[in-house]
Amino acid sequence: MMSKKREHMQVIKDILNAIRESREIKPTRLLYASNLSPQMFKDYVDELLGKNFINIKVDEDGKKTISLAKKGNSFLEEYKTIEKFIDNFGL
Amino acid sequence: MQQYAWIIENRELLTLALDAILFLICMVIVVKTHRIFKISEHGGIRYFRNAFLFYGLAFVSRYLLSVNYELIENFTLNPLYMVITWLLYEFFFVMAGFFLLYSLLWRRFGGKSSSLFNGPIFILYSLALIIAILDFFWLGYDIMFFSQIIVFSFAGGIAFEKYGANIGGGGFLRLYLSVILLMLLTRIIHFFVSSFFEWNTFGIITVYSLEIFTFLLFLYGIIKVTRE
Repeated sequence: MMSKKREHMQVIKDILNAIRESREIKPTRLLYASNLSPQMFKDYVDELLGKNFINIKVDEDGKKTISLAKKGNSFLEEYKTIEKFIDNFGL
Repeated sequence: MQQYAWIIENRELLTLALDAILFLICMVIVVKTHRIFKISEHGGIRYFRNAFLFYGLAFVSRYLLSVNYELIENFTLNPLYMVITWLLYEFFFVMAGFFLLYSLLWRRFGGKSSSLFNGPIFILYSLALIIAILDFFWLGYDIMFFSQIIVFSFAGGIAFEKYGANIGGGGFLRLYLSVILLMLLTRIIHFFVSSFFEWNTFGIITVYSLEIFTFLLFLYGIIKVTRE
C-alpha cells in the first residue's frame, strides 16, 4: 500500500530527476514532465525552492529556467536511504 | 550470589553508569539521523530525532537528579536543585514519548515550519509540564509512567497497524514494532517497580537493562538503514 507521503516523496524525486536529466529546464516543460496539475506543480516548486533543492534563474527577457541545486542532487543520491528510513520507522 | 550482592552494594553507581550509556546511545541516534534529515527535511524524521534528543536530555536530568544524593556522602539536599532536576527529568521524558508517538501521527496534523514550536506540540508541552508538576507534588513518578504506558499502547497499536499494512511489501520493520512493544513493557515494569515494589534493586536494574537493550535496537535499526 502506498502511503500519501511516499507519493509525495516520489513526486519530488520525479521532478528532481526530470530537472537533472535536462540540467536546465523551463517551467512549462517541467510541468508536463511532472504530470501534475498547474496548482499542484506550483506548490511542489515552492516547496522545492523553500528546501533549496532547486534554483530558478530569470534571464533578461524574463524567461525562467529551473536547475538542480546541490541539496537537490544530494536528495536524489540518498533517496533510497531516506525512503527506506521513512518506511521502516513508519514516519 | 556474590554478583547479586555486588549489584545491591553498587546500585547507585550502576544506575548512573547506565544513565550515561543511555544518554550516549540517544546522542549517537541524533547524530546518525542528522544527514538524512538535513537532506530530506522530512517532518517524521524531525519528530523522530526530537524524541531521542529529549530522551537524551531526560537521561542527563535523571543522572543529575540521582548523582547529588546518591553519590555525595552527607550531601545537604538543595531543594531548588532537586525541584529543577526532577521537573526537567519528567518533562523531557514525557515529551520524548510524545515526540515518538507524534512521529507516527504527524501527517494527520499537517507539516509545520517548526517541530519544537507549533500548536499541537505546545499542547503536549503543557501536558508534560502538568504531569511533571503533579508527580512532584505527590512525590512519585506514577503519573509519568502511567502516561507513558498510554502513549506506548497507542504507539504499539499504530505500529501494529502499519506493520500489518506493509506485510509482504517489506516496508515497516518488524524490529520497530518489537521495539515499541518492548518500550511499553519497560514502562509497565517501571510503573510496578516504583509503585508496588518500593524501587526494588533488581526491578530497577531490569528496567535499565531493558531500556539499554531497547535503545540499542533502535540504534541497530538506524545504522542498518543509513549504512546501505
